[in-house]
Amino acid sequence: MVPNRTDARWEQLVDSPESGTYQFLALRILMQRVTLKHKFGMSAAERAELLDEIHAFFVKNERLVGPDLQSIFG
Amino acid sequence: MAGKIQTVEETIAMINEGRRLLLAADDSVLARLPAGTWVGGTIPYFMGAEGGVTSREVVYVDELPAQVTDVRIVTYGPDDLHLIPTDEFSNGFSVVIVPATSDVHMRYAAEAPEFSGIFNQPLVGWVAGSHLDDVGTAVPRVYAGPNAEASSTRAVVLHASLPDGALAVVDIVNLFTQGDGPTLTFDSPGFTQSKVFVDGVAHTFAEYLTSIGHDTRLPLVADYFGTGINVSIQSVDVDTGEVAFFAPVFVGVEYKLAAPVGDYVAEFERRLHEGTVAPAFACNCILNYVYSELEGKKTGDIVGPITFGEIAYQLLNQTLVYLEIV
Repeated sequence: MVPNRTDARWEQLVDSPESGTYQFLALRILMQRVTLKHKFGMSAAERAELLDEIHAFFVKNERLVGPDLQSIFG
Repeated sequence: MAGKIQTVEETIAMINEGRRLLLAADDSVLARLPAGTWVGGTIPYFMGAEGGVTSREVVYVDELPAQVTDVRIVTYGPDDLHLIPTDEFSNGFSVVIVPATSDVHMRYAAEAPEFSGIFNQPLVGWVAGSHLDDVGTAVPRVYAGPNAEASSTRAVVLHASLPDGALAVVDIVNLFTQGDGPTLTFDSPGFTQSKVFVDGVAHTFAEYLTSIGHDTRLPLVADYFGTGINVSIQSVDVDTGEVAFFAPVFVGVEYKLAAPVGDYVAEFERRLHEGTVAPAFACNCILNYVYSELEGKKTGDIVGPITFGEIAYQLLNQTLVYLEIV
């Protein structure tokens, strides 16, 4: 089950992307993008958009990202 | 069902039967095919069941899995590529082919990682090319089957839908890993670089690679959370200091020069035993084909076109990309 978009752990994912490990190929590439955006700084609007995109990614790929959901959200 | 190498006549028959196909062949061959439900790209190199094949006369054919319930074939110009995710089916996969050296190829390579929704559905594909003897003279092209229409300036995408309960999964096999050398970074993105920062110190890139005697068959490798992402070296010009690549480097990404790979075929088999996967589509890089002398040799039981670039969401180099239906 993908946590609700309001779960604070989504923000941790965006704010500390390099603290996690990821299994799904698309997630690894997506998190590389998050890492770069975090490195160069984001506006509040960009950050919110990124959060929405990450949440949508997990919803769309729910059947494939089980191990990553477990790793990130327990 | 694994793809296979076929004659033009066999392929025409399949098209006329209404079968849904992903095709790769020399331009002279693709130009002979009738309209139908297919997409194609130009290339005369293939990995077949008996090993690597170079031919200007045959067609590599992947038939879409029987589970595919609907197909949508769309072409995109350089300014439309960001729409690819919006045209995808809610459950399915997409296969994109772009013509090498075109603006649409350059733009996809540079911009795809930033497309909204690009990671939401499985997206694989490849860069259409030509015989290596014809590079610079032949024009790579892609084909949209519904009108058997060829283009050297547009990308073609086949969007496929799957029923509930079926999933497509994309994965890659990259035998290159980061070597033990210094970290390389760049202060501007692009397919060419004159300056490189070696552990933070600026150097002229061509001079640097020459000074260390780098084997240019070995790519730059970035580590995306455990997945190696390659940038292959196209040329090193010591007069201009410029190094050209087959994919862009990005600012903020840390690269290292790859460690050597010994026996590509043996290493490939070690990484992906025969029978491990049954791809609906796969492609491998022309550089792997040439550098590892894959003509006549097999890469396990993985077959498919040998391409001028591979796509697993974003452009990759010197990588095998495959898509499975699970």
